[in-house]
Amino acid sequence: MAGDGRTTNLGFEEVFRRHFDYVWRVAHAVAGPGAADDVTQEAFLVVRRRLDEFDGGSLRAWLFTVVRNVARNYLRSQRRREARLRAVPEPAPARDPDDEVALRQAADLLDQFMDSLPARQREAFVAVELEGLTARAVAEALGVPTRTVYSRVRTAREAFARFTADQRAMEAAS
Amino acid sequence: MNPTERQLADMVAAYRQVRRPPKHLRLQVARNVSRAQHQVVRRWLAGMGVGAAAAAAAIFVVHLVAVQSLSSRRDPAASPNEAVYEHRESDGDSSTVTPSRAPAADPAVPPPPAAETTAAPSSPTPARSPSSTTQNRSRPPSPASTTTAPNTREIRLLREAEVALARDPAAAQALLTTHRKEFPATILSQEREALEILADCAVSPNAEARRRRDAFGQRHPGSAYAARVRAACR
Repeated sequence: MAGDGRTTNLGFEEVFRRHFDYVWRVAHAVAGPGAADDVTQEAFLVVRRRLDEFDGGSLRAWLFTVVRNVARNYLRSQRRREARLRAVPEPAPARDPDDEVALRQAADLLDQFMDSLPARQREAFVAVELEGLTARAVAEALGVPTRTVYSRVRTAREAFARFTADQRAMEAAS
Repeated sequence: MNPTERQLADMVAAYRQVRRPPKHLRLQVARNVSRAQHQVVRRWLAGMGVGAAAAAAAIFVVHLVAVQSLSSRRDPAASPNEAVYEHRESDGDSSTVTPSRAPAADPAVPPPPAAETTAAPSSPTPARSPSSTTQNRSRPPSPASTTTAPNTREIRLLREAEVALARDPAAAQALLTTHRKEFPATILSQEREALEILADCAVSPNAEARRRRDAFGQRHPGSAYAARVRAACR
């Protein structure tokens, strides 16, 4: 297996080892922190069942689709707000406290922004901006035209610009 | 790169540094995937024919070896810097990407929308509630957690015993005795006991065999083996 997510000879073990963190991060970004663990668990059960159906292309885009679909089911049954109530923050690794605070604030702000996006924009934003998948790979995996992915990402970027402008305005006012 | 793009890049980098899965989760997911596969073997061994059971066991062994391996070691690439290592390298050269197929319809995975205007897909009931991960996390260790996970030899012994039952129950007994010695604590103990009872009843349907049969029925009334065991020694 290549390490770049394009795979021709798949094994579940390899997928699990190499992409566990990726799957969890996508679950976290798409479904929210309280749902990330459960969605990751379910996603790997699906991957185990369906890995032989993957027929090439971007493995990461395929995994993204699995996580996104599991997350959709999850969020239908348990609204994200409820899931967030159950979120238990993981103890932070040892870093400089100031750096750590700044990093977490930035990550929290990004979570806040992603929460404000409609589901499909959010998915496109996570796939392309957060995880670096190409719009083409995402489009193929999701079964939508590439221009649709571009459109969603562009709209999300515009929303991000407005979001950060609002943040700056709020900081200036306080 | 304009200021907004730079800010986004910085936030993404921060996100990828601090958003990491809990340390316990990797092992927990590996175990649960293994257990789910184990349920498949149980069903096949209990309810299907010998050939199907052998096929299921073979599939299980392939997956089990993988899951055991992944639960016991970590990829060097999955270091704290993995996020940075992975970023932007996965699909950088889209010209080499061949068309991939999204996962087909799955009880847990609805098909993706075919187009932008497609309504949200229906929501079939997941095969297993995702919330069980959280439930497992808050639950004290179950008795099953004190047993060992099955390995290739263990599966093979049970499979061979199942095969031998039909033509040579005494050989099945010997295989199961070997299994019991080598794997005294196993999550497949129920399967072994059921096969032992079936073998005992086939070799000598005496009072002891009937006592074990009845005890099994009381202990495991919902077992996939219950019907077969109940019909033994008749």
